[in-house]
This record gives sequence, structure tokens and C-alpha cells, in this order.
Amino acid sequence: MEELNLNSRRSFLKKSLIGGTGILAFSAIPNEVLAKTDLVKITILHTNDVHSHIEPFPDNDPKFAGLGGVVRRAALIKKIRSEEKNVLLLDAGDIFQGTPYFNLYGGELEFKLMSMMGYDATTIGNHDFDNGIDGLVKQLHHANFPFINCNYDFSDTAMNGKTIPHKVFIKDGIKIGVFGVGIELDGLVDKKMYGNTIYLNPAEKAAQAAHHLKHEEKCDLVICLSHLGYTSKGGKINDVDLAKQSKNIDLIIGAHTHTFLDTPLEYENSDQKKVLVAQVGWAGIKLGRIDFVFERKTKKKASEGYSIKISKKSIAI
Amino acid sequence: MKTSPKKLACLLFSLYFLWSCSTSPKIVKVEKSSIELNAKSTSDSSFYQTIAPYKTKMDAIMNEVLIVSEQALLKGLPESSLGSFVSDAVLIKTNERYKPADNIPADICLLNNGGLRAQLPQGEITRGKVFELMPFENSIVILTLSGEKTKQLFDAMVANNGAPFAGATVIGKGKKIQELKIGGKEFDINKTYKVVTSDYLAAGGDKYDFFKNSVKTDTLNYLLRDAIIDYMVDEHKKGHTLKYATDGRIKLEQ
Repeated sequence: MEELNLNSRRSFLKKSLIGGTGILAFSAIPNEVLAKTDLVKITILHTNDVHSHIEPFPDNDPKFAGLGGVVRRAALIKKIRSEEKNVLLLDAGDIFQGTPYFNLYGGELEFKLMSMMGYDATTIGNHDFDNGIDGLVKQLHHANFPFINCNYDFSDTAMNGKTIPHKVFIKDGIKIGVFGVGIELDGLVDKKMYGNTIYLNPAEKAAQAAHHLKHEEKCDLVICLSHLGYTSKGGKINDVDLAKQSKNIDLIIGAHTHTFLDTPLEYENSDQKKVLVAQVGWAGIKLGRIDFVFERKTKKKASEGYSIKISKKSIAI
Repeated sequence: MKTSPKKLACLLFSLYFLWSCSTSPKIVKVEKSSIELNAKSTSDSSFYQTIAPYKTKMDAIMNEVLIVSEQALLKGLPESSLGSFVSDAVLIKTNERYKPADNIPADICLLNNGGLRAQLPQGEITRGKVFELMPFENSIVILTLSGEKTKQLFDAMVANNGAPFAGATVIGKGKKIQELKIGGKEFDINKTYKVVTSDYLAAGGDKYDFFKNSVKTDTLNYLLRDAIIDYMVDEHKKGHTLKYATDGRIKLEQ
């Protein structure tokens, strides 16, 4: 099986080199080489603000004619998963609202399809409250992935216990911590929809979550799923502010403002370290992809080292 | 107390173990991209089976053509063809249904640009397209505002580079109102005005604070979306098409 995989990777590499697109050019670092030189590649795929866009935009759409579509996204994700070992697929909220699929079925199909595509996690956007807290809760059983948020206190709502503040994923020994933050609901969502949800300061909660993931969970990569927006009005915090203030975040996968960033932008955090801010517009028109290559002592080498050391010292004593 | 070789070995092992753990993996390369999904993308046909039953039922309802538009209706500020069309349609359909005790119809309609969720193409407009334009289950309300509050409404509109509205004309300069006419007449701060909007905005959505403390609030059990659909259906019955362009109802100068 492994051989087969390698072969298919090789043939993919050839194709990608011939194809020569920016996306595929990275794969010119063959996975076989990565293994020998103790490099591990983690592939992050992301969407945001898909807004119930199951089908591509119709051909007469003034702006996005023929773009998007779940069947295409599913095929692309499947292809990337066949080429890469360590894939994490994430969404940054506003899954709901925008086509009659939501008006008629309340988000059931959106969650089913995301589950089929193998989403690893999402956070919650303001429009995910559009059928009220109860409307969201009602559809949760169609989703087989967690809803991650650390700044909405749902304890006095039907969502109580149905979200997690953060989650650690381990891929090929690399620990990836994911947490989520949501936007202030007052003035954006009708109170009767979000009920007794309490909005907590996203910068503070993000700092706590990121610190926990980096220093207590010892994550190698910390990702924030944010529905704060790339820009904001009235002095409210946005992804750029969050990136600059932060300490332990490596990547912010943003949403809300429907901002098309061709590639994530780089900012400096308060420790002068790099933070990436990503967002891929909306409606599932694009799939974002970020490959992080880690260099490390591989497990195998570490264990060899240990056995030699012990035996030598033991003899000396 | 003597330290046995075994214990020492354990200690050394532990030290080494700690040391080896502290060399955490480092990011040495990051490759970033975004991939557009378009007609050239391949499709995973297995997903069609899941979507099909939902789609068939939905299409039967949503593919109905309501009217033909002569041109695409687009979003924009300070004024847009789409914003003006929706506001006009909502004001007209509201006044057809609105039968208040004082018999005074609504003067203006104010919506928000962010609430227009899709643009309308040239050609056939389907029911589904209107659902995309106005997906929210927001109902129409009619607020009676004092002259002062009405002025605040237009102050905010001018300061914020416009909004979708109907029933008035505004000229602004340097973020201040120069001229304001409601229903073709000069604005009078001593009068009250009736404003059609959505329950979402009336409740303070999009920071429309001038809607707070209205003199009176009337509700119609009528969705904004249904008002737009009814307008299209009725115009189509009359043999009309949609011919909408910006008409200069708001003019802003620096």
C-alpha cells in the first residue's frame, strides 16, 4: 500500500511539475525526501462564509458566474488528501444563510455535505444564529465535526455543552491546536435569535486559548478560527488587530468580511513573530491552502539516540 | 545512601528524554495559495446523490420565473439600482397593505446595504434569486418618527455614504445635509414621518440608533422578501419588465 502511495505521489509530482501552477509547485519537495530529512508537511485547507452555497453560481450571475460548488470542492479536497498525508480541513463560520437550501432545510444539507467532505472543525459565525439558537441546535446532529469557540458563553442556552473552546489535532506527531473566536452579536444579530448567549472579549479569550495551546498543550502550530472580520468598524477588533496583539498564534483563518485574499497576509505579533491572516472570500468560490513544513527530530531517530546513550552510560557506571 | 547504577541510568534517561522533548519541531517553510473552483474543476459525482433529493424539491419551488429585468441590478453606495428597486418595491407593497387608524401612509423606506445579500442578473428573475437577495425571515415594520429622529436618520445616511431608501431626495455636502425632501416636499422638523423598515433594523440592527424610541411602531405580518416577490409578480401580470437605474435620489459632494 505504501509503495502504491509513493508511486501515485511520484506520478502526481510529474504532473504537477508539468502543470507548473503556483499551488502545485510546492510539491516539488518530494514527500520521500521529507521523510529522510525529518521534514513533516502539514496541509491546512480552509473555507469561510460558504453561506449555503451548495451549487455553483448560475451562469448569469453578475459577479461570480459559474464559480464555486460543493461537488468541485469535494473533489479537490479528495485529491489533496490523496497526495498529502497530513491534511486538516477547517471552516471559519457563516455556514448558514444565503440560498434557498437554508430557507427550506435549515442547514441540514450544509452540515451533511461538510461531514462527507471530512471537515475537521468549524467555528460559529453570526449567520449561524439566523434560525435562532434552537435552529442551530436542531441541525447539529448532521455534523460530525466539532464547533469550536472560546468567547461565547452558551451556558444559559440550548447550545450549552455543544461547543468546545479548542481542540488539539495530532498529525504525524505534530501537534496542531485550533481555537475559535466569534464576533459581537449585539447590533448584528437580533437578540431573540442569540438569546442568552454571552459575548466575551475575543482578544482576551484568544490570548488565553493560544497560551494554553502553545505552552500547556505544547502545540507546534496554533490556529485561530476567527469570525471577527479582516476589517471592522467602530473600533471593534478584527483579524489584523488580533494578529498584531497576539503572542502564540501562527495562523488566523478569518471570515465575516468576505475578503478575497489570494494568499494569506503576514503580520508581526507583539513578540515580533510572524502571524498569517487568511480568508478566501465567500460562497465556497475558493479553497484556501497553506502547507507548513516542519523540521524536527523524527521519532525513530530520537529513540535510537536514547538506547545508545543509556547503554553507554550504564556500562561506564 | 548509594546511588545504584540502575537509578543513575534512569536519571540520565529522564534528562535525555526531557532534552529531546524540548527540541520542538520548527516551521522551515510555508507555502500559501488559494484555489478557485470553476468550470475547469473536476467534480465528485458521489455528492450529487446526496444533494439530488434536496435540489429536486427546492427547484420545483425556486425556479419559477417572476419577472424579466432589462438590466442587472447591482449593489452599491451611495445609491444603487438594486437598493432603489428594493426600497421602492417595499414602500409600494407596504402601503398597499398598511391600513392604520390615522389613514396616513408610510413616507419613506430605509433598508441597509448589508441586508441585500445578492445582486439580480439581467434577464429572468426566479423566486430563488429573490431568496438569495433577501434570505432573512425579516418582517416589515412601520415606525412613526419625530422630525428630530427623521433628521438623525438622514444625517446618518449622509455621514455613512448612503443607504438603500425610497420616498425622499437628499443632497449632502461634506457629510452634512444640504437639501432634504420627503415625498417631494421640504423636510419639516416639526412633523412626524412614517418610515418602513425591517424588524431587524428597527430593533437596532446595523446600529440604526435613530429608530430607538419611535413615537409609534406598527407591524405588518409581511416578510420583506414577500413584498419584493409580490411586487415582481404584480408588475409581471401588468406586462411590465424591471427597468431600474439609479435616479440621483441621493447626491453626495465632498
